[in-house]
Amino acid sequence: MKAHRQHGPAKRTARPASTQAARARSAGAQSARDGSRRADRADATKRASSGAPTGALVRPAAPASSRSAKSTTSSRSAKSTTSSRSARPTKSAKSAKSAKSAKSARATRSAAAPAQATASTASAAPPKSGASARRGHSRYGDNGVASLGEARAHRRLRLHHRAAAQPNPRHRDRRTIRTTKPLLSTRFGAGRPRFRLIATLICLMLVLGVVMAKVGLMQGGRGQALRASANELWTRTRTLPAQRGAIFDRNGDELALSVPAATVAVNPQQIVDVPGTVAILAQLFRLDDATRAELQADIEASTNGFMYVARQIDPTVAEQISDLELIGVSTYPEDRRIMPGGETGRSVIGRTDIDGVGTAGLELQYNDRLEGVAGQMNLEVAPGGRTIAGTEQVVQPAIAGTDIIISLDRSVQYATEQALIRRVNETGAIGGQVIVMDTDTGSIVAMATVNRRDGVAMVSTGNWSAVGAYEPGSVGKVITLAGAIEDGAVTPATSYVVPWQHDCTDNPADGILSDSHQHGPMPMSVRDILVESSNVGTIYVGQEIGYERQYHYLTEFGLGRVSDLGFPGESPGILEEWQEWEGTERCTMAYGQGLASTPVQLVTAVNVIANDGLYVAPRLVTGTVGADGELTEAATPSSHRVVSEQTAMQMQTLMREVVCNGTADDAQVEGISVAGKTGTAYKAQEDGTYYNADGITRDYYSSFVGFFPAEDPQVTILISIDEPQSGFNSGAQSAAPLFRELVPTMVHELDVQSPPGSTDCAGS
Amino acid sequence: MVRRDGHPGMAAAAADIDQRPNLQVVPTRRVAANAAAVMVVVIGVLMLSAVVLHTRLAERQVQIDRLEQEVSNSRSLFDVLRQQRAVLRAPTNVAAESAGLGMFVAPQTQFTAIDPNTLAQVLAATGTVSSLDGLLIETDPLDQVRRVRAADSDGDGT
Repeated sequence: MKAHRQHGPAKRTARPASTQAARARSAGAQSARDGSRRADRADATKRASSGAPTGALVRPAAPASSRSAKSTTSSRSAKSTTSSRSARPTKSAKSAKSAKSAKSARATRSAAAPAQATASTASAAPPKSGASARRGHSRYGDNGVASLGEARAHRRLRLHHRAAAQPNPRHRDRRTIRTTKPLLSTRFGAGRPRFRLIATLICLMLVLGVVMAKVGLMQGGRGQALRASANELWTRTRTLPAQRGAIFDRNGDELALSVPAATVAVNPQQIVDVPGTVAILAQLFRLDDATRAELQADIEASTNGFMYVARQIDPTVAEQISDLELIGVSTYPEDRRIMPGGETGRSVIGRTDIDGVGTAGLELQYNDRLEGVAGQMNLEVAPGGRTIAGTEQVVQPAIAGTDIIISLDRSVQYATEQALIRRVNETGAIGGQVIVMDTDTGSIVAMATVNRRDGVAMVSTGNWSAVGAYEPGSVGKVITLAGAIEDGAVTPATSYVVPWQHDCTDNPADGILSDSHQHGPMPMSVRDILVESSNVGTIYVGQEIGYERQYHYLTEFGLGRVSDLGFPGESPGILEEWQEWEGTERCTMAYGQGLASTPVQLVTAVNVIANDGLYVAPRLVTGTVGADGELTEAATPSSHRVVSEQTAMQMQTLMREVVCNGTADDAQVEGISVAGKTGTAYKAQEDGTYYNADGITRDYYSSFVGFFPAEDPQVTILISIDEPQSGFNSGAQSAAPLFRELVPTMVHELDVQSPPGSTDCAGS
Repeated sequence: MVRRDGHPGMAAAAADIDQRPNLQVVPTRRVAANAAAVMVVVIGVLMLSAVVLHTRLAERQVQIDRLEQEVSNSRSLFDVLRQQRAVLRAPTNVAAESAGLGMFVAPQTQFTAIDPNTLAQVLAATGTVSSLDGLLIETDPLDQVRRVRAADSDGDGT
């Protein structure tokens, strides 16, 4: 065992030594050995040809197959005892032996070729002599050789013999190929492992190179486009709707908000059992037979791949439907916009469409801020188009819309609307408007619009307080008198002899202007003119300052232009340049006829008097709450001084006289000091006249604008009644009583505190 | 007798053989094999670590998803609850409920001074005073919405 272990590895390690030994023996011993080998081979050839045994290595002739096996065994044995390098000597060994090998090979071929036709390769081995020959094997192999070099020489001889016996397959005639090996394996190096390995390596390198080039191409130049194309194949992008911002009132109560809901839709092309699916949906939605049949017909007739069944329903119902996993039926979340207070504030807040887009009111005006920013979510889909659960990836989260805080007070708004509805019903009017404004800030606390629909007075969906324009009537006298007093043209005590009629143009076609009641020429002070609401007296006062100054004050009080509210569809009113005034307009402008203003403009104008001569632009939005909860106050409304504080206080006194001793005594409130002015205007008809179709009767637009407490105004209220029935034509009759009804509510809800010494008209 | 290899006999050949270097099998340093083994172990450990890491990440992600779902559900519930509260507190609902109880709008209004103790008792009875510290409970919906939004924003920020 020891020797065996030594011999095995020694084949590799001793290889150079044997090569050197072969070189060393190349000159002397080799020539002698070659001579003896040739002699031995000649003897062996003779023995083989004669069939006589030639010692231990000479074996009886065997069949061809057996000989072939023996030859192979012998070759393997030689390989096992000699190194592979002995079969393929090094260059130096080759050069040293090549000449001798060629000679011996030629000699052997010439001498032994005939014998090899009938004898095996082993039989051609040289005979052994001495003890080795008797044993039949030696330490260098089974051939009884005495040295490694001899064993190598034997192997070379065998190989040469074999080569001589077998023609070179490369030189064979193709027509006479007789081989069991495939041609390809022969041509491509069968039996030549090194060539095969190198060829395989080259092929693999080429393939790898092609693959790498392809990878580089896919990752490099076209990588972006390929990735995009791949994403388009298996990913879908879904929009994440942003939650619409809420609208809060001044106390933080929700006026409009979005709540979670769900929408159910079907793909008519995917539904297999339409009647069954519709039956299940009808049961969950509690549809009647007619609706169910209509739904089924719609689905069956639809050629689209999408159809709504129900939108913005209760999420629990949608969840039930989703759990059923009905084929072709899908649900997805979709917020629903609601107003918790019902119709309260509807005319101001406006509305959204089914998709949550503002279409009217503040919902429209601030739609960009309320709707937020939609997000995006990517999800992967299976080949069938169904989404793969768990693959959702929010690429861009949705940003909730901005909450808006408006100045409306939900309770005041509700009380105002309900009171206005009652008043409209009582007066038989077709509608009306009420605006409650914070005197100091211009913030609108309530803005109610009521009109009749099918004979029933209800909160309007349109904000006619900002959209509609009406002739203010006698409320306009406040502007004329304040301007005259401000300009120093008159004082409250300035007196005129006022008839009840006045011919403004000396043109009979224009008609005669008159007061509301007949009276003879009578001395009237400016105070009396306002308290008695004399049209002719106001014309006289207006003439004191001229048309231009009248126009100046009208615009300074905010008429003739859109207010800072910026409400959708807000009207600027009608106010022509003073140079364009013609006919009776030059006179009627003084008492509020011949121009038109919105209720918002009118209440803002009167609020100038209540606010000590300072115009404060009206506003509805007082602040916003961002997605991060940060509260941002709205910009301070613009303001400018119109009249002096002294003038304003004089007008406040005069307007308090109007309530206590004038036309607006129905606006008196017990315990509250109130100032105001009534207005009764003719409504212009479509034919441009102030008469109805009968040519006799007129339609009125009656109003009252007041503020309280008169000594320190905190709240300004405008009440307008549109086309009250006979008996309620004047503002005193139709609007002033409503003012009296609303003031206690304002005092309670807005916590209005009267200043010390403030008393009502009765002095209490 | 001289052998073909030049030795006079077996003894001389053996002697010649004995003079040859005593070659021994020297095991080669299996640096590559050892390095490969180390690499395999290292790569195996790294792959195992990656598997563990990804597993932990997946578990965490599942937890995060569940928490996010809970947050989303809570937010939805918050919206639903505040909508219900807004409906209940709306003047429309209050008027309808009070009308159902036989109340109606007073034809006249009189303001009277209220005893502070009475006011406190009413506030306590209506549940707007904290039983812990006796302070008024902030029920401003806007303030609550702001706090929720601020919390959401902080959560997104972190």
